[in-house]
Amino acid sequence: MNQRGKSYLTGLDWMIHAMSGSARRSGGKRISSQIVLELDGLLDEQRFKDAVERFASGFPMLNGRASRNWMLEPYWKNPPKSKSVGIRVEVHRPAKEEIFQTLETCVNTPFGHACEYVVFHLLYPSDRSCLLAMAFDHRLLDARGAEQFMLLFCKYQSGAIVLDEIDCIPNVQRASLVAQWKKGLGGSGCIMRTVHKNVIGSNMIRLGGESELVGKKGGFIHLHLNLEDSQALRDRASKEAGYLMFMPYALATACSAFGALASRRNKIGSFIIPCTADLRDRDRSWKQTFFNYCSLFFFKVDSGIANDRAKLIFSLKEQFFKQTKEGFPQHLADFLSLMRYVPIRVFEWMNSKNHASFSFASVGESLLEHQMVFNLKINNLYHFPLIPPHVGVGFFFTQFSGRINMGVSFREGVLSDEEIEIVREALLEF
Amino acid sequence: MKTIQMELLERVADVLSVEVAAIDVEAPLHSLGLDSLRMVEMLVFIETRYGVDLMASELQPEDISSVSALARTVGLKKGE
Repeated sequence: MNQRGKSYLTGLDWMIHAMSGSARRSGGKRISSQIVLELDGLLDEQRFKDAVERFASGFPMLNGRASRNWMLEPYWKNPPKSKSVGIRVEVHRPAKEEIFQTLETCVNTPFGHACEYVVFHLLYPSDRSCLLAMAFDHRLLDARGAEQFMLLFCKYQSGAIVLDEIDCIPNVQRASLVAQWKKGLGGSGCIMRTVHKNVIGSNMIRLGGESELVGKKGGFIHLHLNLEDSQALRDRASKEAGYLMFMPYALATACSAFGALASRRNKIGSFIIPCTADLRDRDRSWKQTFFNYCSLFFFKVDSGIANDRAKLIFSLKEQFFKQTKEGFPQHLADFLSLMRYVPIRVFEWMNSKNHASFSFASVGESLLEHQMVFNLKINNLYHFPLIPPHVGVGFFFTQFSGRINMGVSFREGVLSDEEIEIVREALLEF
Repeated sequence: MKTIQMELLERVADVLSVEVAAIDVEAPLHSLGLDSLRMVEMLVFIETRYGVDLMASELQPEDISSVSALARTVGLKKGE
């Protein structure tokens, strides 16, 4: 239960805060992403802005910030009503061939002030359709949460939901310090085996040096498969990885693409890959809209098998099974809850030692399937994913209305133009 | 004593946070809302509970794609 209505931050939230600090101090902006909805029709600009203003007034946390109580536990502090400024809406009218560039610019644009975490962008490239993008800071919303927030807005706008009748404040229990330490350290053996032993002596391959990752904006590769190609990919995944094994197959696809880059740079060693694991309850409670619920799996792949599809898939499935059986993602989440007591700058320093070749996430069916936006159909929904600090490259797979969308995010300069094409081809070939 | 199918049905219901009665045992698991992570959680449960490793085995989708198919396959493997 929240004490006096406070939203206490979890260890997973604190990890994001540390990553955000690292990103800012290395010359970048905060840890942020963007979801994009391609709409079948035109959104009325003023109607949209009015709806956003009304909706945002119900969420003072939109302009909050992290603070600590007297026991050093971090929580999200809401601003006084007078300081709540809601959600900004920016409007763009790009030419059709400039849509992607404009979306890249939107996600690369810093937020307006320290307590702004969500910005809407309306793009009108034609007089028949438009795009709705929402840039968001991961300290307030993770990728799934951003979709859930968008869903909440759409349902509110259509009258399906009354904000006063739902509870979006997360339940973060304040356990005793002893209980937290027991729980947090209980899985430390699992964490040591899965992460530290895998990394030490692994000759991990990284593409970008620290200096190459400083101060550069984000670059993105997007591949939107049509229905036929998406189904063909799912069929291959089912045949080669097994029933409902799309995630390991998609991860193998990303490994293959990264392997092509490593090979081009004559790098031999291991890929260490943190892979997102959403720990949300399946009942999709509105209480799990805000803040972070994604822990990690950690995969290790020898670069020598990056081109051997069968061995790659087998290895990934084996590790997936083992870490699920050991409860690694939950152990990591419990351990990170102890890091909340560590000064954020110290935690940032610890995080800067994070070892990974690239990050990976695969989201299944979108929460906005079958949802209308202001009575407009959504033709496609995809993400401009976050660029992991200190790692520099991330792969992100999503699905919408039967279509698979593949996204790659990278710090500009980490990949050359030729390498961008190599990644594109490797993803499509798999 | 619960049958394998009943135990698996209860486990799937728990994983999906729904009532047991809401699940059609013949429906494809992906249509019920299972994804890769939840499927692996089911396979971990099966290995722990019945000592049957379905993750590594070369099974066809129809052998594991519904609660009833899973139960049949587990039963067969247990008997081997």
